[in-house]
Amino acid sequence: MSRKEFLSQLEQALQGMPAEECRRAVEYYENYFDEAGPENEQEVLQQLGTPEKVAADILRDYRDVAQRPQNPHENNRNNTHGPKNGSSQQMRDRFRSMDNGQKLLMLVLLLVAAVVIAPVCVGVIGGIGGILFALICVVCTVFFLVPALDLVAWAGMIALLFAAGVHVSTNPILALLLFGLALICAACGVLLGQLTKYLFCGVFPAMLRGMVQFIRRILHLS
Amino acid sequence: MSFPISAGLLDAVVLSVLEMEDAYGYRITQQVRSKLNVSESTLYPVLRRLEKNGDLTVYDRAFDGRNRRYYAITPIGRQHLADYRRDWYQYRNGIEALLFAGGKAE
Repeated sequence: MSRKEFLSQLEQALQGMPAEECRRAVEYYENYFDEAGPENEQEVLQQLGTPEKVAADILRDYRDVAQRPQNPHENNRNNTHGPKNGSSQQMRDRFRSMDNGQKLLMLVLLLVAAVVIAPVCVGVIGGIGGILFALICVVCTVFFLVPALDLVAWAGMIALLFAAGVHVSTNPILALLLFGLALICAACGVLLGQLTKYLFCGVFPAMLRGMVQFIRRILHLS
Repeated sequence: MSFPISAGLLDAVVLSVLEMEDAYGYRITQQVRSKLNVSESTLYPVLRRLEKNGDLTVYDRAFDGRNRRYYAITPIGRQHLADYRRDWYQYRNGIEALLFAGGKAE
């Protein structure tokens, strides 16, 4: 078996786990092979055993963690969920060790902080939301306006041609003027048509792609 | 070996290895294996579990054109390690008293 086969079989065997768990495990063993170096590949493979067994170890531990309390020491420290609870527990301990005057001061400070900070937070979040909304509106307007103007240009050209046709026998100079205006409209129509094509075939897919990548990155981070 | 290594003991061993300096998976494994007969696949679940418990954090460093994932002990991990050491003294003293003095020492 090669390193590649081992890793792909390991990934297969871990399919029952959440994707993130599976990815982390495979990355770990990729890393492991990298560190051991290609010259030790066979030795590492032999030591590791079959990918199924390695996967079984990972799966067993993963299920155990979901079921049992995570740490034998947590009973006497009420620390059930890692770092976040740990620090809130520390804060609670510190609060408990204060005397009543300090507690009152602490509560007043917290209250003032809440009164001052809450509106600021709401304002900032609202502001960011507003800016985002405005941006989306502008983009939508551009995407709507350009094709609409294109249509208007072509419609104008047809109307002017028609008017020119009507006047060609009675007032040939006016007809010539109208015909010229129709040509200008046609030129605008062609230009706006090109712009529409660029917006929908070039800019729009790029924006979509950018958005998908952005969302994927956010999901990856969390 | 006659005495299998329990999960808690492995946690304690890994935390001790990381107490002085951060290290990546392969290194931690080599270090533990230099003293204890554990298989190469034993430590990944331990590291992942400790990470989830908040005892360890991970970070990536570029090395030789690839990625190296380092594990580092957190303050909570250090606290747990101190707890483990205290438990270990108790456990060891009890076992040794029974094994070598038939429980009659002290």
